[in-house]
Amino acid sequence: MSDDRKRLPTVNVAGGDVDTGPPASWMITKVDAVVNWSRRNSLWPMPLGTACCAIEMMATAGSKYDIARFGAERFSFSPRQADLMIVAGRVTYKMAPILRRIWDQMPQPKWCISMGACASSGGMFDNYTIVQGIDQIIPVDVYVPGCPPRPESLLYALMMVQEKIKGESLANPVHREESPDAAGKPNLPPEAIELVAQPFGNSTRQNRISGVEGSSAISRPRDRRERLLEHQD
Amino acid sequence: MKQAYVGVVVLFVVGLLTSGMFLLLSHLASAYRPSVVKAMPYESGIDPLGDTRERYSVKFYIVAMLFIVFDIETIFFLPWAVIFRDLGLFGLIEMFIFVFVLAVGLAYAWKKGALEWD
Amino acid sequence: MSSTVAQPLPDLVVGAEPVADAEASVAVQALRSRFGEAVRGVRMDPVGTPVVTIDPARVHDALSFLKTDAAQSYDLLLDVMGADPGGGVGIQVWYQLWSMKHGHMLRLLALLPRANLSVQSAVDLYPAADWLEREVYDMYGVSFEGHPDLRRILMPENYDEGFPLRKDFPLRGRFTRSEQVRRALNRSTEDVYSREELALAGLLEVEPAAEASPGTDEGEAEDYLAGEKMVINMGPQHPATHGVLRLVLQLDGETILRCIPHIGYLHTGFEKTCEYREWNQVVPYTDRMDYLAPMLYNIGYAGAVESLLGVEITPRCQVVRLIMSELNRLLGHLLWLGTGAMDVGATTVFLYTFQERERIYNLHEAYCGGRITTSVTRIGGMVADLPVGWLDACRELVNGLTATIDEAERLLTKNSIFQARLVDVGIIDAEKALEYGLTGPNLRASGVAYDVRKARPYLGYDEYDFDVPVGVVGDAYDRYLVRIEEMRQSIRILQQALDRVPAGPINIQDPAVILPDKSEAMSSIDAMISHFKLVMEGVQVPAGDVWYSIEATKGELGFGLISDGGPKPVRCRFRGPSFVNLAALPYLVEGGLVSDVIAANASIDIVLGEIDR
Repeated sequence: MSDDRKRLPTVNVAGGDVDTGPPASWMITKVDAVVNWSRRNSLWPMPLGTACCAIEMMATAGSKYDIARFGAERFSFSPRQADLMIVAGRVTYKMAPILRRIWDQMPQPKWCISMGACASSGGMFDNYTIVQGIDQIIPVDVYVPGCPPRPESLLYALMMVQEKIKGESLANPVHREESPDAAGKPNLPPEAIELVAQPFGNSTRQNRISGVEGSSAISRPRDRRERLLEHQD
Repeated sequence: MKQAYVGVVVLFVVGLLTSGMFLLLSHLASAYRPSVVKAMPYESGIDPLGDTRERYSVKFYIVAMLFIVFDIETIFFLPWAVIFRDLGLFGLIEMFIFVFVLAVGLAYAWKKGALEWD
Repeated sequence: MSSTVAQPLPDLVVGAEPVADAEASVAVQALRSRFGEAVRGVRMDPVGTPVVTIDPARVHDALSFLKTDAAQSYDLLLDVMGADPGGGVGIQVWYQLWSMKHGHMLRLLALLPRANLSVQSAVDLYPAADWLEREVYDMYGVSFEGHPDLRRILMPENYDEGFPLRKDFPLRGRFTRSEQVRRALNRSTEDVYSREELALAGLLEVEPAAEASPGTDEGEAEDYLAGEKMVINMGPQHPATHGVLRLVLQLDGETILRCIPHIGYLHTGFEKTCEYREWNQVVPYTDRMDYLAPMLYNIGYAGAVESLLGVEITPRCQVVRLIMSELNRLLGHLLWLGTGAMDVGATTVFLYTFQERERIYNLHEAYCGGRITTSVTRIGGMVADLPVGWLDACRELVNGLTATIDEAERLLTKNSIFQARLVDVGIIDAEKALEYGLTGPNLRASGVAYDVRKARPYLGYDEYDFDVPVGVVGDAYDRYLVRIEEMRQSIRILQQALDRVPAGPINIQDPAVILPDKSEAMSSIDAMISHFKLVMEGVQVPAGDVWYSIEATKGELGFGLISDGGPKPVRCRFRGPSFVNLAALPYLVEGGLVSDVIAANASIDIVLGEIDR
């Protein structure tokens, strides 16, 4: 394996490629199902909205696109009561420690959507002041492309987070790992940041560095159906 | 006589059990990952400045105290209202005296400016 | 209470007739006679503003004269901007001034030599210069002597890499990305708070001499209580600050003693980035500053470049741009109404106004494909002509909009809770408002009838029938009423404009400026060559500079452009009105309650994208 891969543990419980300890009994999977169902259908977003994407996020909360259908209408501006941080907009180096502090202050379980091109990779601003991708600062679960992404894209991202939650398990909480000394530190090591900072670094390396590429996590709703159809043969 | 209280006891016990169940389930399902930063007071992402153990204006206390007094008064209304018919005229006059005493207190507080914020 | 007694209407501020030659201007003649040799040069800029280059040492005297002399009375400081023309020559500082009384615009220009980047501060004359000068210091390293608090405003307080807008500063900064991330996350409490705030919180070390006498001094009692006042942060992550604005508040219970805004949490480096883009490539960047009413920025920027180029857009383009401007004014005001009402508790209005905004977004999308990031103008025209049926759809929307505004007014205007939150909150009178450089509905609510659409008409605004609403008291309620009425006036303008769209080409027929029609480019060799040349080389804007402004939703939106004849701007300054408006917030809220901060902040209608740029 080349050194520049950052291996994020990936869980694909349905595909059976992870060791969940003793044979998962019916009881534990049912508890998982209930817990995951309740978590994913009542995600309370914390909108860390900075710029134009925040306006699209507000539009998603409005009556036409209605994020309330997904149980996510209660936007919590306090991190203590939020599950899902939506970073909507460009993040400057001045804002980065605040972003990190607020992420650290969110209690587990927590997920993160990086909404828009600027949050995902710095967008059209490759300059002295914009963080070139918030995954350098905090771990991200779903990246939404767009400048700004349409409200439908944000809803799809929310659905992808919901799919991710489906694959979680109380017995093996790999996604809930959070070391106390990681608080306040960047999410990626300096070498990874430098690799992404090279010309076209975002488009050639970010997938690998952020762990998206090569992960077998079923994260798109359509994938699950396709997988199930495959297994049926 | 005791029969009347069974309802209250059951309500109390069910309440305790329900809230206990919520706490227990949350504890079992949670991922508890404490850290120093997580426990810090939230101040929009910035380090809080200074101490929170500072003296603050007495007007907060005054508002709270006035609220408590009149809230308790309201609570006393409730059982009276339930058996109001049985008490008859005596009960009505009694309650008026009660209200009058508290109204004098309210008038005093009003005149002293305790209801003004500044 | 806002006065319901009929007041005499203030006079509408109208610009004076432009002079043909700079030397004929009253201000130039007065400056020449008074300052003689200090006046190094006089010229005219493409929009008719006299530009006086003056010795940096006499800048303060000149400004003082221009402000106080009755024949000049330049009472509004619109902009203080820096510019690095390149070549290590020095830094230019521009002072853009407007006289309400006489309707004259003037620009003072001082070229500061590299060896001595300092000039006397204008804060004592114009409090608006406070933040404007701090920005010039932050971006160029120019030190303003006599400035009460000259520290960085957009960059982090301990920023070490240098002064970003200087030409020798690389676009991506001096440090490596990992170093920038490391420094960003390593800020201590002292870095995040200014000395004044640390002193307010009683955390600064007091010199031993101060605690010499153990008696019951007045001063000692005050010191004892100084640490008793709570200093808290409101923001940058806060629902009611309308973006990443940080207010450090010193509180005595619920009363605000001191309010210190911190901005820069959204500083995107637009101005620096645009120096590396061709003139047309800057247009998408202009969407992202005031993202609530993006087409206004597109239109203003295109107008500024076209004035430098000296081209006149076609009549059809003029009307279409006017329609887009007014539609975006409605877009911006609807958002202000929704979020402002939501801030004081009325969430229903938010849903109603956002539904209307969705309808306007449909029109945006039908025209240019984008909802928010429209990028709808090109130098010399528009991205495309109006689609078939767009005008009818727009007409339908505009006719239905009055009902929504009426509904919102029914819910809010006579609502006693709404009035209790807004009346007599954040009062600023006309004189103070001018000193603070307020423009737009904020200034009009304080009683000054200044609207760029009336004072210096552009896009043919002088041919339309509309009124400019003016307030009386200058409180938050007046600002609310003024914006509601402005929405109605925008509808009025739209109803006139939608019937007046002339036939004809939307873009000018100048192949050196704008791409020819695709069908032509595909069929005629000349058109293909011009297409190729324009795409490869970009629009070549002749050397010169201009400060051009339009009336945006939040106030007077200014563009300061410098060109050296090439395809890329040398300086691309965006004077966002909210930047100057926000500086008045401490004046509005100090002495009030915490809940008034929310109401006052909502009433001045800021957008962080154009504050931080």
